Amino acid sequence: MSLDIELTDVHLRYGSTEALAGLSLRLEADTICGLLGRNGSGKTSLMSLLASLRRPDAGTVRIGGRDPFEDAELMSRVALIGEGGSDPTDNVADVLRSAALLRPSWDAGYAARLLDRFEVPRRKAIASLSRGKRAALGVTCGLAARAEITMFDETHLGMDAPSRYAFYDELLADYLEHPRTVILSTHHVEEVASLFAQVVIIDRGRLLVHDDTDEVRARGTQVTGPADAVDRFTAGVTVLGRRDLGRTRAAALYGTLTPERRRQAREAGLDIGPMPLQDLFVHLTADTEKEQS
Amino acid sequence: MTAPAPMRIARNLVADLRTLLLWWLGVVALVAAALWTAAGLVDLGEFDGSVWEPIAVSLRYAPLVAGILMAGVQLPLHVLHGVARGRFFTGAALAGLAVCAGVTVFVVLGFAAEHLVYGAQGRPHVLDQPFPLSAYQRPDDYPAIAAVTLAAFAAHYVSGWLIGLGYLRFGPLRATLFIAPAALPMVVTESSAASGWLGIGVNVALADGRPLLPGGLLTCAAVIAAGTAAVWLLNRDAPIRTANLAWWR
Repeated sequence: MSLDIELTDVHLRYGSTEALAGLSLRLEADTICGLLGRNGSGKTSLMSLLASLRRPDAGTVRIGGRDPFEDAELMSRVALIGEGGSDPTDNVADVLRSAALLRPSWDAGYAARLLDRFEVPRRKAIASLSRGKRAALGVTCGLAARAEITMFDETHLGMDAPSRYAFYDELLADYLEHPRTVILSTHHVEEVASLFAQVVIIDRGRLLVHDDTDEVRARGTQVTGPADAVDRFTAGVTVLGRRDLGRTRAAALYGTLTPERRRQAREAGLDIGPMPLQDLFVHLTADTEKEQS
Repeated sequence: MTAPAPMRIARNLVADLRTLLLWWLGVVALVAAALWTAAGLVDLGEFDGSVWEPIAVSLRYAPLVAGILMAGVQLPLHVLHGVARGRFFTGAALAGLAVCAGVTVFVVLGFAAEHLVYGAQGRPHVLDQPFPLSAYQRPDDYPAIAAVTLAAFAAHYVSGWLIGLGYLRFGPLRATLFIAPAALPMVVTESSAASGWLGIGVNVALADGRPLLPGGLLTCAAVIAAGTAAVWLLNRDAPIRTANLAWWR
C-alpha cells in the first residue's frame, strides 16, 4: 500500500501558542521532500503528528488513507529522527539492539557500515558522545530503519561538513535502492536542496509553498554581472537581495522573466540563473522576521 | 512487515533495565554477605533477627524506579520507534511482571541463603515481630514470602508507572499532587499485606491484630488491578512532547 500523506485543516496548540493553524498538505509517497520554515514555524509539530506523538486538536491526519494514531501496523512504518530519541544512559550498542527489536525493516548490516563511516564508537554511552556523533547515530538509526516514511528533524545539524555530505550521499544512494518517503527538515537549505524533489515551506503554522523544487526555484531569478549593469536592469523591479564580489553583483529577483527581459539581460552582458532556494525561503518568510523583530 | 509484538517490546524493556537492576541487586547481595559474615565473626549475644528482611523491603524501590522510567523514558522512546501506546502498555506490563518475578526470586533465595548461614552459625533464624512478613510467616515459608513480595513489587511498579505518567501528562505542579493517588497501590498493598515499613505501623496500630494472608493478597490484587487500569487510561493517548526526547541535547 502506498503511503501518501494527507493533512486537512490541521490545528495544534500548545497552551496559548498556535503551532499549526489550519494546515492542509498532500504529499505523494516515495519522494524526498524538504520541509522548510523558520524556528517555531510548526515543522516539528507537523512531523510529530505524522509520527503519532500526539493528536491534532482539530483536522485530520491520514497516512495511506488511515489515521496513524495508535494504528500499530502503520506506526511501525513511520520513523521520526530528532536530536533526542535515545536514553542518554544507554550506549550505542543498546540503541542498535532496541532498533533491531522494534523496527520491522531494520538492516543491522547497513547500520554497522554507517557507524563505521561516521566513526561512531559502539561501546560509549550516548551522553558521552559529542553532539556530532549523536547526530550521526541518529541518522544511522533513521536510514537503517528503512521505514516507509522517514523524517529527519534537523537531525544532522550537529554534524561537521564532511559527515553531513556523507549523510546526503548515503541518503540518496539508499533512497534510490529502497525508495520511500523522506522528509528532511533543515536550516542548511542550499546544502541539501539538490536532494529535494519537492519543497514544503510552512510559516506560522500555515502552508506557504508546496511544489516541485524546480518550480519553486523558478519563482525567483538571479541576475549576475557588472554592478552598474545589474542596477540598470533591476531598476523598478522587486529585488530580494544583492551580493557583491568586487565589481560583480548578483541580484535576486522575485518572479520569472519574460523572454524579452531575458534577451535584454543577455544583451547587457548579464547571466540569468535560478535563485538559490535559501534566498527564496528567506524572502517568503521575511514577514515573520519583521513581526518577530 | 509487522509491528513489533508486545513480547519483543518486553524483551527490549527488560534488556534496558537489566544493567540498573543487576547493579542494585549486586550491591544488596554484597551488603548482605558482609553482614552475614560479620554476624559469624562477632559475638552478637542473643541476636537472631533477619538481616535479609530489611534489605528485601528496601528492594521494592527498584520496581518503583523501573515504573517511573516506563512513563518518563521508555514510552516516549518506544513511540518514537513506531510502537503504538497500546502495544507498549502490554509490553511494559509483561516486562514489569518479569522484573518483579525476577527480584522476588532473588529475595526468596536471599532468605534461603540466610537460613543456611544462620544454621551453620548455630543460631535460630526468625523474623522480627512485628516486622514485615513476620506478621504471619516463618522465614522458611518461601511460598508465602514470595506471594507477599511479588505483590509488593508489582504494586510499587504500578505506582511508579502512574507517578511517571502524571509528570508526562499533567505538568509539574499537578503531577506532584497526583503522587498521592498514584501511591495508593503501594500504600494499600503494604497495609493489607502487613509488609514493608508501612506494614509495621499497621501492625502496631492493630495491636498485632494481623490480617490473614489470603485476604491481604486479594486486596493487593484488587488494588494492583485498579492501578493497572488507571495506567492504561493515562497511557493510551499520552502526548509525547518533543522536549521529552531531547533532554540531553
